[in-house]
Amino acid sequence: MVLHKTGTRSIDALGGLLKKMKLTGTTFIIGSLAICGLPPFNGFVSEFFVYLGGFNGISMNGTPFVISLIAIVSLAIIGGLALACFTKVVGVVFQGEPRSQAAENVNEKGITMLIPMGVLAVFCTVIGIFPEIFIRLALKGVSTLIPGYSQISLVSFVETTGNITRYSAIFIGVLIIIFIIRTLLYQGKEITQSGTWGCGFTQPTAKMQYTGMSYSASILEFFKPFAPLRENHPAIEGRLPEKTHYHSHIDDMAELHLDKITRPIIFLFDKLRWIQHGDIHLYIGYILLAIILLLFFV
Amino acid sequence: MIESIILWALAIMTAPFFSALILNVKAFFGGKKGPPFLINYYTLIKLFKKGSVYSRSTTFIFKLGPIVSLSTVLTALMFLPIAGHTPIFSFNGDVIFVLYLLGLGRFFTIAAAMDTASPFEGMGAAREAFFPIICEASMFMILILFYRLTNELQFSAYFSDNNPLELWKTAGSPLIFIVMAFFIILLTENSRVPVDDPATHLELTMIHEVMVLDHSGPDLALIELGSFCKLFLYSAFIARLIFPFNLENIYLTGGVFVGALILVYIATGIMESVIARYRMDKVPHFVLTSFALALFAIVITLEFVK
Repeated sequence: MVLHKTGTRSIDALGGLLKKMKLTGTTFIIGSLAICGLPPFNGFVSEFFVYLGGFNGISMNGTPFVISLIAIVSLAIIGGLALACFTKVVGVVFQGEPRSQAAENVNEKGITMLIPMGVLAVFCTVIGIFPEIFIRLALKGVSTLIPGYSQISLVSFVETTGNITRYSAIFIGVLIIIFIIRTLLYQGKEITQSGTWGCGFTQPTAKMQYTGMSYSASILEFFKPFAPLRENHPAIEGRLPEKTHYHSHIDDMAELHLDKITRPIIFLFDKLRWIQHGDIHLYIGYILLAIILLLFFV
Repeated sequence: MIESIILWALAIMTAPFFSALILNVKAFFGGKKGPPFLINYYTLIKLFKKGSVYSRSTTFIFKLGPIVSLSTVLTALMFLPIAGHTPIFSFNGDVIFVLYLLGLGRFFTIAAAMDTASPFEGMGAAREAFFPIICEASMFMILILFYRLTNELQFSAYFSDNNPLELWKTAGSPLIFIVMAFFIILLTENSRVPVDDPATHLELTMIHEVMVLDHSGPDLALIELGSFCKLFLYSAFIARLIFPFNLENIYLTGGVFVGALILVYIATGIMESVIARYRMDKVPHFVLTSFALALFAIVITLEFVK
């Protein structure tokens, strides 16, 4: 939707979309909360069960302790990183002030695109609060995978999902109470609109906002071994510096190293290209050959 | 149940008082006369009476931020065994629920800060997103240790009744590490010195304070109350660990618990008086110390707690 309306894939060129695209923004925020695994959304339910599994692994003698430990701690770190990542996307794309003309002139039209997003957001919330039905469905699916799994008792699952439902409801209750208190507190109060506090600077521009790159800079610095950053930025020198530019690219470690393995394989398969020539008669011949070969082996 | 609810309400009511202790300790070290012990109540009342100014850049997320962050903390407090008493609610896995609930509060605090289009608040938000990643990792490290010792995943199994005493009996020396690790987490999560300086004047060097720059009036009061309660939550863990006994008399236990709590707050105050805030790029090292301590504690228990 955002791409469709603004025509850009660079989040640092966007901003302030939430004001013009309320529904898109809200559904996006709900989706982000769910991905971060925060209650009361569906991501939390899955994360909760993975944690329970990890901790159960510790008390069971079968699994080595180290594996459970690494699983739990990395899940915790991933949770934190997901939160950092999605607050960045939400903050830079949907909040603040627009950073470009394209982001300023957006509107929210196209009901065919809005409805699917709305439905998904509603499901995120419903599964998050009432996970029981969905867990039952999922377990049914699991039981068909391995025959022995059908004997798993549902009791502990239902108990846990019941807990999640109950305490999510309590949290929402507290939220509503505080919302009411806040509304009461604001009754008859003077509410004024003004510019954002600029720390004494009187002419802030949209360019001065924190961009996605600056938001993640310190995290990237910390995780440098895993996410090498390439920068192209001629230094500013002299009294009358020339126009400078900044360009950055983060190399995907997995991509870099996987390339070393995949390249020879691709090279090998390139050499075998002649097998695929497009002649249907010969293809039927291949099938025949395969059947004959199978006859010998089976 | 009723007692638990009363304790919960008491915790919320007294949290601002305890925070004033830190101010007084700092004033004492600075050779000044501290503010009155009820200063935070005065501030809250003053803020509640005021109106608000909203930035033109903000959306409804900005107004939602304080509400969500306060309600997450208040809900989290319901799971806390205050003074060793059984909490209002407790279930298998409530620790994870509480930690993620606090994460939800953080998400909205950050989102509200990003909503203002202010470069300073973006800076604070980036730091607020970064440091808790490490905190969360060490928090779960501590959880793993507690799980190994108790085989339970709920706060009441760690902190209520005689349970903390049992923890000390089974693994006394690793628990000293845990207390230290907890203290570092407390300082980080609540934006205290040496991670963040709540009294600083320069927006560039703030974390939590800069994120709430544009909030005013009752909204700011909700945020303040939330952060007092959050500090109470973490201090209560430590207070319960340094004073694990459960005395016959509930009032006596409560009294001693308050004493331990005051001790934790005074320690925070002393910490703030004797050292300066670390440089921002050194802070991760400090926070990682808590992770290392928790890991050591686990390694130690691996051998003799089967």
